[in-house]
Amino acid sequence: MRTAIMTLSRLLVVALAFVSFAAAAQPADDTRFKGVTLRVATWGGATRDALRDYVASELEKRGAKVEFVIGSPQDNLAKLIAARGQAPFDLYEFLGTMRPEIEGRNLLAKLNYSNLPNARSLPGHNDLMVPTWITEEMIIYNKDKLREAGLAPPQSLSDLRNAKLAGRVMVPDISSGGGIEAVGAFALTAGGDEANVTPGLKLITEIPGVRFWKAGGEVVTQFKSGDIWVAVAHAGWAVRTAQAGVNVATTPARFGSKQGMLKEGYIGVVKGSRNQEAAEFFINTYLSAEAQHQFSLKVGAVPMVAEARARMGESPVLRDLVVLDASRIDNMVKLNPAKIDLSRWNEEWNRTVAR
Amino acid sequence: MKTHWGRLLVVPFAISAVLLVGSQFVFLQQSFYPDLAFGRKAAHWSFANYARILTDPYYLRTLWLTTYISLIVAAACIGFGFPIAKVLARWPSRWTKVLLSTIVLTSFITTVIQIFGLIIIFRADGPVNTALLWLGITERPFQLVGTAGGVIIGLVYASFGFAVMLMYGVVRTIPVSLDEAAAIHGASRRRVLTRVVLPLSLPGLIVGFLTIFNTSMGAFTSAALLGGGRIITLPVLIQRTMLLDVKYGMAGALAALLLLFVIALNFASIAIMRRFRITRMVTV
Amino acid sequence: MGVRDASGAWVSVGQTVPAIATRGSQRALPRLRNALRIALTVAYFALVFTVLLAPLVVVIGGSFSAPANDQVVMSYVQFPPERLTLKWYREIPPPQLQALGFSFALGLAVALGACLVGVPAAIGLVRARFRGRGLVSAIMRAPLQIPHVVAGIAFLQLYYVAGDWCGIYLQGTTAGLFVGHLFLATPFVIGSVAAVLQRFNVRLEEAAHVLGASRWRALRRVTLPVIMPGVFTGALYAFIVSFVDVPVAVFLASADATTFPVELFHAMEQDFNPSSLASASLAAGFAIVLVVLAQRLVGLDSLLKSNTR
Repeated sequence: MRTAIMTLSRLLVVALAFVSFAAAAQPADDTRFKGVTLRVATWGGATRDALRDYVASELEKRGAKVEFVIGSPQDNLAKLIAARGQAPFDLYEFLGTMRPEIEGRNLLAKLNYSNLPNARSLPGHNDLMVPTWITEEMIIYNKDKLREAGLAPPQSLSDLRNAKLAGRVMVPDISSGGGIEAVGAFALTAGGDEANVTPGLKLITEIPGVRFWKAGGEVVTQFKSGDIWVAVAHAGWAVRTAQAGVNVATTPARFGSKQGMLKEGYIGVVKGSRNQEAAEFFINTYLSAEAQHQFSLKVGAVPMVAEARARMGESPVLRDLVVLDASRIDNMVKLNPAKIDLSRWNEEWNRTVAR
Repeated sequence: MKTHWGRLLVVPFAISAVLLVGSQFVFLQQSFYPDLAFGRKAAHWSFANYARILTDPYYLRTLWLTTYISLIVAAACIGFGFPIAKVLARWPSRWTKVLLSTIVLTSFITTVIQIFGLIIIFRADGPVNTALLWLGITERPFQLVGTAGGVIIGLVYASFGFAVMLMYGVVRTIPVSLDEAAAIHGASRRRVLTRVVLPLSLPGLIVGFLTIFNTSMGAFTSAALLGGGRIITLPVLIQRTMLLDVKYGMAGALAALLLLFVIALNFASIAIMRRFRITRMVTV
Repeated sequence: MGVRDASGAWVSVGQTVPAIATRGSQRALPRLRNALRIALTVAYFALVFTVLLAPLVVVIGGSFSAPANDQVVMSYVQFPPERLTLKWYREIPPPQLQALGFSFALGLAVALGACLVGVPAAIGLVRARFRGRGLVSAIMRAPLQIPHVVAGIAFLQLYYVAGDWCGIYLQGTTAGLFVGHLFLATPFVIGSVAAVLQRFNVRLEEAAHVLGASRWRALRRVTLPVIMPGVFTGALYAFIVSFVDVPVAVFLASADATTFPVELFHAMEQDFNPSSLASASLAAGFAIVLVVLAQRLVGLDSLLKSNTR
């Protein structure tokens, strides 16, 4: 009897040891990306912070290191081209309006959608890129300052041509993250289109004392110091300006019967990247409901994932300043990327707008 | 036995020559090929890029802008810096060393940091603008970023220390005994300055002016940060054409133009120095 | 009796001075005018130096300034500081710290490389006599003439062509930056060492040689120690040229290899943030230490004389 108990106890100990060992053993996932340094090219500021806190953290839990290469998509495109195929970073965030430019230069790697379950149902994805968020280009204005000056809130971009607003208006530089949409918007307002931006550029020069921003952070700084009263930027900047304590409101610009201009964010894996699996994991996490929701709160953009979109109403600031429902989105103007010749736009901008 | 000191030169010279010829040749050669879209180049050699620069009003305007900004910067540096240099050169005191070190220091600090500080100082609600508005000098706050004035200020900061050091050297070569001799014969201080020091410094000042003008024509950092995308001087244009527009040929042509201009100006300086036989400012 | 003027010609005092002396200088109130002159001079100096140093003071001061309240947006810099804090120093983005270290190491490497290339070159240029010496000298000092922007795009295009040709891409690598900066910095070492070498009394070396030392030993034990200040000044300039450079690094840097000025340059465009002030202050502090050190070791005159830009 005693022998039996002793054998049993030994067996029990062994079994316990085995079980605890198995429990304590790292699941294969935790060191899945050990030794990987993933480089993500994206905007700085809140975008980088949100990605770092809610997406990169997931990779870091699995042993990877995530670095951010900061710049507007045009700046990062320049870095990508200058690297001549040497993949200066693994992931590249860009705008929908840049698609032809990027596809034409053959810069992205083919995506493996078996690693991207969250992306499969999203509209606009193809074998090279995945949509990550949308937002709207707005006219942001300081309610108090306009009221003091006795001005009505601007309804379209041509309203910015007001002498009373001289030196108080800020629009995106063409090489900034908001530049392409803004130039397109001005073009449409002035009677041109994607193929003919000259009227729009002329309209910009007619705004007295117009100023340009290169990084969205400047918009917030200038609103806060009272330097500017009106800015053209995407809704997320209105959110961040409001959070900085400035009393702003937004108006989507009018384009005939339509209102507001859509702006889409995309992400792709750079050709020649050696960390494709980790990069795809990043994208998939980016499109998880939780990450999308947190991202939208921080950045003020509208998530692609339906679940996260539904949760936007939870934040009062987002509710007031950022567009939400499908009918509004349908009534927005969207630039046709195929008709955009970026290098010609740049040239014309240099000639017309730059002094 | 004769020592062949020249042998020491072989490897260093080879390295220098390869780097110099290699780098300059490539971009000069590229400049003779027009650019196609998406960073590709035409297959045939032509002067198209250069022709465009000389005829396109945009490029001509950029050249003119860069030139007149650089002229103002050089004038400001020499004008404001000469009194400092002259007083320091003539003042035997240990404070001279401290003040000169301070000036040397400012030219050792990365321009980027200086401009960072300038942007903060010239903020719309910062000290300078508050003072300007209060004094009634301007109606709207002075904008540093995106104006020619801002670029000029930044460039002056970048070159001022160097200008003072240069002029200090120039004034030092004028023997104090000349000043003293003039004073003994009854010249007032002002006369000593205008009839002794200034005339003798003039060649050096001219060379200094040309040097600063030269450096400013090619100065990138201040112009890029303070230009704000609106004031685009030649160096900034070169960078944008190369990196943003991805037009290697045109960028090369613009760079060649700048290089030519700078070299021509340097020759002019050397000619002036030879004319006045100033040998102390050049070594080797 | 006479003096030499700046061009080396003799000027006879008796001849020129009466022409420039005034007939009657005012004796009335000389003390007051003197005092006024001194006051104006001091005021002017104070103004110029304040203006010159203001940005630096603002950067360093701003790096210690605490936000008045907990703002979400940090792109607003508070100066003069309302409260002091070390917060920004703790929050310096790791890429900026990394870049600072990288710039420092690169600067050292460039200084060393420039000396290795420049010192023998200077000795050769000063001492060798051969036809074409002028041309060789001009070629080796040519980088001083080239605007840094031009050097930047020249090297980038060179690296592209070299990469296409032999598969080794140097753009965006540490080696690529090193070579680019070496190109810019070597002439400073050459100029500085040559200047000292020319003043060096060759007889000292020859005496050592006569006394039995080999040429090489005489050079090493006699000449080198004496010209060391020139070498050091040249190395210092080489380091500075590399450390502060923006135009070349902007073309040749990448996420793998970035210098601090370029990091700061990009940060100013995108990420205007008080923690950048902290890292900038660190770099500025370092420059201050360097200048003080250099002055202690070589003296200011030596620094000024060999400014061969």
